[in-house]
Formats: sequence, C-alpha cells, structure tokens
Amino acid sequence: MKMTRREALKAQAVATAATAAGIPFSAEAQNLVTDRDLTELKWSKAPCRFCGTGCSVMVATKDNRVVATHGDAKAEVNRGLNCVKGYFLSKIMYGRDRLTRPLLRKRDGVFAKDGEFEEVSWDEAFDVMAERFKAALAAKGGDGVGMFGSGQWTVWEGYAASKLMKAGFRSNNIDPNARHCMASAVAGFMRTFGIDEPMGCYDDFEHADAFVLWGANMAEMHPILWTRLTDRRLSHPHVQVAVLSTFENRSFGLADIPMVFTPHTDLAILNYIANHIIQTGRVNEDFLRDNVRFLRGQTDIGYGLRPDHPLEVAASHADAAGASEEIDFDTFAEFVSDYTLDYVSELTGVSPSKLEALAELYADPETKVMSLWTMGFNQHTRGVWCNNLVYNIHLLTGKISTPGNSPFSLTGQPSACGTAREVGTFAHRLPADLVVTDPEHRATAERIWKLPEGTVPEKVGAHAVLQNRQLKDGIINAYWVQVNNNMQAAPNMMEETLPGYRNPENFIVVSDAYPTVTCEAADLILPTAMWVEKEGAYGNAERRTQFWHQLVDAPGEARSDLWQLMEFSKRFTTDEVWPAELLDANPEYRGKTLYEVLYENGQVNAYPLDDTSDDYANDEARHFGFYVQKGLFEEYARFGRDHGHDLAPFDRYHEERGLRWPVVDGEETRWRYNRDYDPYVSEDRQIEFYGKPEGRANIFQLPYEPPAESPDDEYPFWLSTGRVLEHWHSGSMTQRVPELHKAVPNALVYMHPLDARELGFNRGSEVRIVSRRGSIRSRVETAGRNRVPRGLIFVPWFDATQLINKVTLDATDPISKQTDFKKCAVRLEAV
Amino acid sequence: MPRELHLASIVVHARPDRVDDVSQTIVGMGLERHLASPEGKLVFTHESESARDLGDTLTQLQLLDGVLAATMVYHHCEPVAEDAPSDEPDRETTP
Repeated sequence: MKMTRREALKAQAVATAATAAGIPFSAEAQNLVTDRDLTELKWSKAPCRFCGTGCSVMVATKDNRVVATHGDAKAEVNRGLNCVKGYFLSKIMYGRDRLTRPLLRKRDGVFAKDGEFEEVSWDEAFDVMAERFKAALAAKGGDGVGMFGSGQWTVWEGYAASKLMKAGFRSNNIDPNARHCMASAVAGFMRTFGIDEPMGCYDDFEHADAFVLWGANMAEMHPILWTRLTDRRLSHPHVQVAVLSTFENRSFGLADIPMVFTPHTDLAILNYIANHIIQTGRVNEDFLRDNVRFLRGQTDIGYGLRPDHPLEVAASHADAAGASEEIDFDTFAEFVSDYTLDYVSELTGVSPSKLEALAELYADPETKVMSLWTMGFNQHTRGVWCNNLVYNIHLLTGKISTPGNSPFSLTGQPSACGTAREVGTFAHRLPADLVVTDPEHRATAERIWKLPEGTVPEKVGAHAVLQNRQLKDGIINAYWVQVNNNMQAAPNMMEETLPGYRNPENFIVVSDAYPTVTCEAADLILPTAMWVEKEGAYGNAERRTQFWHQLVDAPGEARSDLWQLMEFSKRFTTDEVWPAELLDANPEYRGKTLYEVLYENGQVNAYPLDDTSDDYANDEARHFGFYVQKGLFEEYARFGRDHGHDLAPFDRYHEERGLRWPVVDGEETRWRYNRDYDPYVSEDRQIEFYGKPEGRANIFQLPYEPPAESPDDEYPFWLSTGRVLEHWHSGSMTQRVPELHKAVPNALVYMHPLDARELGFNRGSEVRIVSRRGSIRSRVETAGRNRVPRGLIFVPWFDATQLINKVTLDATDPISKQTDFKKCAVRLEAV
Repeated sequence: MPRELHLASIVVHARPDRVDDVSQTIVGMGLERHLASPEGKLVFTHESESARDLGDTLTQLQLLDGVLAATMVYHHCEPVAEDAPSDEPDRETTP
C-alpha cells in the first residue's frame, strides 16, 4: 500500500489517540513506524510544563528542534492523553520574541534606571548586578536583597536558589509565586497533619463514589483529571458529583449537586457539614479516639493588610493568627451546632435540600468521597481555615488515607509541590518541611550544606506581598525575579508592585524566556533557557517526582536559571557578604567564593561529567565540569530520606514516569498514613498521622468570619477573578503587551444579564471596572458558560491585555500570607 | 510568516446520548472523524497551518454542548516548504 507522508503522520496520530482512548484499531496503523521520515524523529519523555497535574508527554525532536508531542501512554497520570494546553508544547520555545541576549537599561553607555534597554554581554550584566547586590548587602545585610521564584523552577533550580539566598546571602527574603496559589494549602496541611501535601493520590479518582469540587473548575483547568473523573462518573452510575462555586462554570455540566454560593460562605457550609455529621450520629468514633485531637483556633485575625489599615487595627488577634488551644469533642460539637441548615442556607443563598444532599455525601459511611479544591479555597482571607475545615469533615468520618476517601488539594503549577513546597523556597521554609525559625532545623540544613553554625538566619523573610511592599518602601533594594510574571500576577499592582519596581533606590532583575510586563518594569532582563532546553525535574500534586533530559539547545545566549544562579554566585566572596564574627569563628571559610562554599562543596560536585547521559546534551554539566543536577538533587534528598520525604536515587527517575514519595526500599507510596500502603506507619497502628504528636491529626474549631471587603452602596458588585480556558489556548504566553499603562479592552467581564440591563449595558458594551484602588476597561459578556449570579462579576486574571490586578485588593490570609484574588468590591461605569 | 503544518489527533468524550450530533457538529467544523467507541469516545484529526487555529479549535471543541472532555493526544508541527503546494504529498513512502 502506498501512503503519502501526511497520511502516515495522520495514521500515527490516530493510532496514538486510539490507544489513549482505549479504542481498538487496525494493525495496519501500527506498521507506520517503518516510515523512514517518522523514524528519524527522536522521542523522549518529559512532564508537561503547564500545570500541576504532571502529565507525561512524549516529545519528538529533529535537527535540534521539537517537532511533535503526544500523550505518554506509559504515564499513569494521563494514560496517553495530552490535554488541550499541551498543543502549545511544540511551539512554546519558538516564539518570535524569544529573549536571547541580556538587556540592561542604559543611557550614555552606562546603567541608568530611566534608560532604555540595550543588549549587553553576560559579563556586563552580572557586573552591574553584582555591584548592586553587594551594595545592598553591605548596607543592610540579607534584609536588603530579595528573590522571587516560582513553582515552575525545576527542583534543582529552586534548591540552588534557596541555598544562594538562605546560606550565601544569608537572607530568607525568597518566596515563590506559589505563595499566590498554594500557601494556604501548605499552612492547612501543616496545621492539621504536620506534613505538607496530599495523603492520597490520583488513584482515588477510580475509587471514589462521590466527588466534591470546592470552587475548582476542573473541566477547564485540570482537563486530564476531569477526564478521569468523568470516566468514573459515567461508567459507575451510582457515583455523584457536587460542584460548588460562586458562579456557574463549565464543570456544572456534570454536576448531580450544583451549588452557587455567596462568596466567602464556604466556611459556613463546611461547619454545617460537620454539624450534620454529628447531629445524624455518623461520627466515626473509633477513628476519632485513636487518630484525632481537637483544637480551638485563634479568631478575629485580620486580613493581612498593612498594619495601619483600619481592618488590621480593628482585629484583636492579627498578631497571633496561627495560635490554638486544645478542646474536647463536646466543645467542638457545641460550637458547630450553631451552623444549622436554616442559618447556613440563609447565609449562603443555597437551598436546604442541596446543602443536605451535599452533607450526606460526607456523612453516609458507605460513600467514599474525594474533595477537590484549588484557588477557591486557597486565595481566600480565611484560606487556611477552609483547608482545615475540609479536613475536619474527612477526619470526623474517618474518610481519609484510604482508596477513594481523599481530601485532595490540586495545584496550578508544574512544580508548586516538587520545588516551591518540597525544596522549601518560601520565606519561612527549608527543604523537607523544615523551617528557619527552628534552631534544630537550621542546624540540620547547615550540617547537610557543610556550612558553619549560624549561617542560615532565623528571621522569617519577606513573603510575596511583603516583598512588593518592601520594594516600594525601599527596604529591599536588589531584587531578582525568575520564571514568573509577578507584575501581572500580584495584587494591587498600581499602589504596590509597580512603584516598588520603579523605585529609584532599587535594582530589579528579571529572568525570563519572553518579554513580559514584569520584564518591562525591570532594570536588567536575563534571557532564560526553558523546559527541554535543560535537564529538569518537577513534582506534581500527588507527590510524583518526574525528570527529563535536555532535548534541544537554548537559542542565542539564553541560559537556564540554574546556570544563572550558580554563575552569579562566583562573583561574591564570603568576606564580602558574611559577617566578621561568622568568619572569625570559622576561618576556613575565609576568602572563598559563594560558588565554592555552596556548590563546590564535595557533594554538589561529587558526580563527574561522565555520569551524564551519552544520548543527551547537558549544558550546565558541561559548563561547570560536573553533573550539576545530580549533585544538587542528591544533596537535597538528604533532607528527606528517613524523614518521611524519601526520594529515590537520582538515576532511577530518568527511567520512570515519576515516583510518588516517600519512596522506601524502591517502592513509591500511594496512600500515606495508612499501614496497608505506607511503611512509615507503626506496626500497632492502622492509621497514623505521624507528622503530629501521638500520630493524631487536628480537628479545628473555626468560625465563619466576613471577608475583608464586601459590596456596599458605592461599590455594589463582588469581583471574582480566575482563569478561563481560552487563556491556555489563545497564545497568551507569546502575545505581549506593548505598554503597561494602556488598557486594551478586548477581554471580557462576565455579568448577569439583568444587572447589565439595569446599568444600561448591552453584551459587548465597553465598561470601566472601578475599585477603591484602581480601574480597568473591559467589555460586557452576558452569555457563555460562565454564568454569574446577580451582584457578582467575573474577570479573567491571566490576561495581559486587561490587568485586573490594578483593581484587586492585597488582602491576604493572615496565616498563609496568600492573597485573596477571589473577592473585593467594585462598581461598573459606562465608558 | 513561514507556513507550517499542524496535524493533531483529538479524543472527544461526548455524552453517550449525544454522540451522533456532537460528531456531526465536529465534522462540520472541518475535522476528520476516524474512530468511535460505545462509551462515546471519538477520535478526530485536525489539520491547519497555524497553532492559533488548532488552539481555537480545541477551545471550541471543549466548550461544545454535549462534550464532556476534549483532549489532544498527538501534535505534529513542521515548516512547509514555500514552494510545496499544501495539498500535495512531500514524498511517498511504502510502509
């Protein structure tokens, strides 16, 4: 049979899809691998770089270029599927505006804050940058410098960055953009279980009898997991799906229990469910007796605003937001008894029958429940509480750590878990859940890093929002942003972020692959190698660590963040940045570069160049002369091995489609805290929450408290922000904003048709959205799948053409310091 | 802008009772249907000369009434030689 090349390609595409969909296909299609042109492609695995699901994709390269991708049939996560976001993978590295040379603001041949960007060499870039960092360090020590990283850093990039900041510059002013999306989840885990990240895994999708989506619009944002959920729902008719949100979204299409509630009242719904479980006698008493203790959490904790904000002044416990005291079950039961069906129905605007149906999913001992959430819970001024309260209802019923019973915190970024959380690139953290405030934890880090006692500072650094405030206030003067677009992502942009970046006292460095609004606000832009242009590792939402090789070369002079961090460290000596008393007590560290003490320490450089793969390039290893990634990973892994965070040996990950930690004796762990699956559980226990004393998890007594800002006469609408599907697909990663201050009203504000009519707007009308902080222009959309209730508008967040963060409020959860992007008050004006 | 060939295969999961009309709609959008399963899973291919077109199509598919999920599986992307007519094969092979 003769076949054109295009037919051959198509047949291969169909065959791959048939495998993924589980549809039998003809043997003819399988013969295609004999096509000469197709066999010239080199196929390698890599995790997708777009979200926290952690799909594995097969990537084809030819002539040093990615030419094709398909879902990896061997991957447990996505089983051959490659979600709609994945179409971009073949293109992501080849945008025409890719950055390939360092760019420095200059006038008359020298750096000038108000100059224009000019191409410079890496040497010149690092010279100017080092001068500014040294000046800030000399003047203020670690307080004067800062770094903002990302859940898109590879594991070793985050680790190298954390070491450079926390040990090299002796500053904990390092935070990831994961602060904006995951911090409340982290604090929730730490408060309830004492160990971060979900106890269950994606296998729960095939075991649950009910799924409850707490705000998560999985149909659009987590399509692969949604496919698994849909398959389960349709192939097992008894399975029920409850979808909760503050407006109707695409996921409502599959909902058996759809529920639109008034913003912020999810707290009350959670307490109502706890009350329902208790009132109907469905508490799992054996489970509580062995595995749980009860705590009353601090209340009236403020909204994480600047201390002089009236709301903070009024809050009685803003200074001790995380405090708690032990109580007993009866006290807890009495407390939640106020959350009656009538009260909560009134508060939330949800009918009693729906609330009861939802509560029954949790209460019925025969129903295995998976709860799923992302930004709805986490971007919430009581986000940590939401996380604690959802664990409450799983713990009261013992529906946890068994297949299908799973409170599951989804993630948005590919390595929010693997890098930001596990490596500990937060202002208060160290690897493997250690914290800078604990002297023993600091000692552990210093021992593993082979650094003198007292190197790692005790003081908690500035978190994401505080970094912007400190830039504006001129406290942090030298600042480095890697792998993210924080000008666009951070709240209250005009009052806090932009003034901080443009403060004449400050020097702002942004490493990115493409020009973003953050780059435009910078003083120095460093061109970055991305994704398969470097060897990498990510960790997904189910604790799965995945590796990939460098498959192609980076363009021009673009270099990976890892190269940038390590190379930059060569420009500093301990004498320049460490205090005299530290060096006096440890004279053997005198006169060394930070590169020598951090990365040439006999551990990071322990593996020779020969250990790298013969089949793949490794630019960093070749440049530094040793297997950098392996050395960093193996040193990092020392933190977690034998401490519940065990990672497998480095080389194994290149062979596997990822492994879920803890990996003990070569075996991954699917359900933690359950003796049937988790080797860390004691022999005499079935369940043991070993992150907490006596292996007991905490049930928290926490009330409903109102949001920081609610609609009033002057600003009568709730504003909620979030993603929409189109932003994954319409090239928003390559479309650039020409000017930061120009609002181009081609994006949409979703509003109720009756609200629009009352204000005299039509579909498509141009309007101004005004808050107490700023305004943007947009166009009214009254149709479509995002159907908002009256009194609420929804504006897409990830859109550089309408920067909604000019409007949002920088209220944060006082415990997690994560911003609440989901609610503030606005009014609408005709333009 | 240089021309490119984008060829993708897409699995569409339709509500089982909606398979026929969903399928018809998608064929009407210019995609080619290849396979179908009794559970409502359909395999289509999509060809275009821009990533934007493919992205927009994927968005439309996922938002179609009666579609539960639309997921891409395979995506091939390559430059098309300027002198090559787009409908003619680059060369022939015998599998």
